[in-house]
Amino acid sequence: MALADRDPVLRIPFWRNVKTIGILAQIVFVAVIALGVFVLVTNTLNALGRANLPADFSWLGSRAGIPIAETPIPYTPNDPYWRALLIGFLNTLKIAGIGVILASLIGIAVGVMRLASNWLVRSIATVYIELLRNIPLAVQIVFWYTAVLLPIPPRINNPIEIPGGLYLSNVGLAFPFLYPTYRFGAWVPWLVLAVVVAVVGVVWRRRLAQRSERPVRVWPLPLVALAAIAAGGYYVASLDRTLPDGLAVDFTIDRGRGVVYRDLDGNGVRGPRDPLMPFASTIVRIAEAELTASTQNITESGQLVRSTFRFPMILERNVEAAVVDFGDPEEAAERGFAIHFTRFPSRGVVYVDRDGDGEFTPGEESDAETGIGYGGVRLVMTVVGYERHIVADRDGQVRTPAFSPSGTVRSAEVAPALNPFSVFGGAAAAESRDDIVPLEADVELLPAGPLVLSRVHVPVSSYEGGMRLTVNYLALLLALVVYTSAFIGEIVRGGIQAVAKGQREAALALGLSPSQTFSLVVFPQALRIVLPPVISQYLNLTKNSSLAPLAGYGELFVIATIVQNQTGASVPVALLLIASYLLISFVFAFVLNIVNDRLALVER
Amino acid sequence: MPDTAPAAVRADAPTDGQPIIEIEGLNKWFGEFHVLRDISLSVNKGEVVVVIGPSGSGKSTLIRCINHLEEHQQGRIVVDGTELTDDVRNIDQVRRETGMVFQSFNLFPHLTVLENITLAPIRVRKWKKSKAEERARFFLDKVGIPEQALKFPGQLSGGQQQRVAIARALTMGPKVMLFDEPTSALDPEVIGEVLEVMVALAQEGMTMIVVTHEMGFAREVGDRVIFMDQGQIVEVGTPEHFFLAPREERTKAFLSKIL
Ligand SMILES: Nc1ncnc2c1ncn2[C@@H]1O[C@H](COP(=O)(O)OP(=O)(O)O)[C@@H](O)[C@H]1O
Ligand SMILES: [Mg+2]
Repeated sequence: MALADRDPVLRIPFWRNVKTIGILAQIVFVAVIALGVFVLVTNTLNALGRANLPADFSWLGSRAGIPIAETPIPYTPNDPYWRALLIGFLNTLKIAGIGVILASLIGIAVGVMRLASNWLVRSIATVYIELLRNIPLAVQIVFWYTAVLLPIPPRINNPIEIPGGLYLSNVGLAFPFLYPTYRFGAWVPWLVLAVVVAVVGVVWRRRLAQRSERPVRVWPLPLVALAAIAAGGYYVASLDRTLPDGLAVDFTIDRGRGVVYRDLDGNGVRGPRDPLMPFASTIVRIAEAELTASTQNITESGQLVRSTFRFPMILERNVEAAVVDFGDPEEAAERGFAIHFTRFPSRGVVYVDRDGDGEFTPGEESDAETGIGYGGVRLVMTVVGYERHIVADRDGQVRTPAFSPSGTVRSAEVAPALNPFSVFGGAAAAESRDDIVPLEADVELLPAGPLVLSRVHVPVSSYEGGMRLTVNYLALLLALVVYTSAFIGEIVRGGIQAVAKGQREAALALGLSPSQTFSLVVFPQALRIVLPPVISQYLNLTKNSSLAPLAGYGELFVIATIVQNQTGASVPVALLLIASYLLISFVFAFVLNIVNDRLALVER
Repeated sequence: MPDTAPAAVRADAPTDGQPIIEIEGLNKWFGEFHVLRDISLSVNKGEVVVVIGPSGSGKSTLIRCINHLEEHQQGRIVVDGTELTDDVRNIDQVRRETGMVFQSFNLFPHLTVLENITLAPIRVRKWKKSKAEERARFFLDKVGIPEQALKFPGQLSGGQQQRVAIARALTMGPKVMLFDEPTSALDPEVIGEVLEVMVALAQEGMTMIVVTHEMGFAREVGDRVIFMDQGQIVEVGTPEHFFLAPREERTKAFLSKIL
């Protein structure tokens, strides 16, 4: 045939051949891009060179000198830049990770509520979504930070105690937390085993579910196995009651401070090479000692009203007996002072019993004429049998109140001159009071299991122990969660509505209950629809966390900005920022793809 | 308009049978719109009732009231001795005894054919999985597609999907089957395979209410045909009556369009 021997490739000139045109177009495209990148890079490098700004990453190793309030891993301003940036990255993960979980839970709840048949429930959800979606996020962050979390919670010196050992104040929220000790390593193999067994268990139950008679519950048994092996392993790991070699405490009782360290060189004193031991468990015992405090006027609405005193970190259960008295009993008697405890023995007010009923009446804690409280009145607490279990913090520090030898301060002859916080040792005190015993603390290190529970204590103006979330973090978290949950709520509502009405009707017609219809038929289909837009909301939340400066929270963007100001390495810092946010995006996209594949509908 | 409408016709079942569905004085409104007016209908065990009528006349609404997918405002509906009231237990009871087949199949796209069929028997009837699957395969065999059990609905043709939907309803062991235009969404060449299944079902003695315009089906197995218009039952009779001597003008006008 005439047509058969016409070779199309030979006959068509290359500039008209779709195949060659396609290849040429791609080559041109790549060349243009490469040229653009080349021009951009050389220009930038030249400009940076002329301005004497770093264009490489060598500055990452130098000392950062940036103070950061919230550090998930140990950090001091002496650490290098890379560590400061790492803290920022971890802080971003901390806000994004928790934020995504909370926003999803609230979002699903609000989305389902919006479709409720109950008018009130539906209206609340509608108002929530419409209001919060339409207020700019920056405004919401500023609102939570400056209008709610800074002014409303009480000052740190008088925090709210929430049952369960939580404390809330204008500094933030603190709660008891479990930390890994030096024994944790012994538990890790068990944890690995537990996870392996659970995974095998799930696979086995899945198989069984396919073959078995009744609906088989896949998850309970593997989860019980996981918990049982983990618990058993914890027990076995805890059986070893020995302390690591050379574990020692260096505690100064009159400062109420000490550190737990490991005396590696064995010289019995803490040298610079001896590592500090975080989260070691200690007991501090003191036979008899004194604490002092002064009453303080607390201002409420511009008026001085109260005469409160606090003996920080002293709780009734820490002492066998405690007596609180005035530092100068004679003067107190003269002025008619009495003590009213709000929490014995550590907290109360000083008052004058004006109505003579022998009891504190509100109003008596301040002067009748001036309305001013009795500030500066000195009190002394004598404790007997003080004993407290303290978990060292991340830097190995343990803290108690600062104790002084019993009897020092009350010695009438020397009292005015003597510093109430000084230990026994002042020559004047020694001469004036023979019965003063040198102050000694019995500090014992306790063997620990793989985890210890660290409780929160409140010395004067900060939290000690436990886990702390600053108001900055809370404000940013609240704003991001509330804002994002409104969007997720809309997506969930849309997803549920997008499931064809006939699906619900078919399920109901088969006799399934409304809740079975929702959980077995509607929700699984809605999930598939909502997943991609919800993941993009997760990404939005992560990216929006760079509004953190509005709440003063030190996440990646904030710290990167400081680093860039200090080093001038604007381009490298920008590259690191881009890489970090891209990394998070990739992780989300990866998860989305996996879940999407598993949920995909099979079509013809 | 409501005033000028002629009095409603009663569609009572022959007295020699045993009634399984009794509807008395049924009225339903969608807001202001009076969609069902004074419907009185009873169906005997084993009867096949075909409902015809122009689009929007309330046929779907009527059979959806029977399993309480729609709530009625007036009148009584009793299915197999259980009256539909606000009591959820009664509603559940009635739904267990009635199977429904929809125009748009409404199979669950995220479940396999077998899972579609066994979902309700396992969750509602609390059958063992093996029993549910055995029954499911029995009915899949019956509707002629035993080999599709492990496929997803999206992989089947429309006719196959509708047959799965019928098998799904039958596996629950209903006493009454409700069909809402089961063949209207199908390509002409597969309508026959679905009708065949329905004819076989009717011949086995299943009680059926079928909304359809397939008059061949009505003639073959229908015991009575009901013509509805504007929410009312206008005319009742045997299929032959409708073919040979329809009484009402409205019926004649409608039949002339579909025959
Ligand atoms: N959920 C609803 N809300 C309001 N009107 C409806 C609803 N469902 C059906 N209708 C109306 O009721 C009338 C009867 O509908 P339907 O029973 O579906 O008719 P048919 O099945 O005979 O075509 C139609 O006019 C339709 O528009
Ligand atoms: Mg209809």
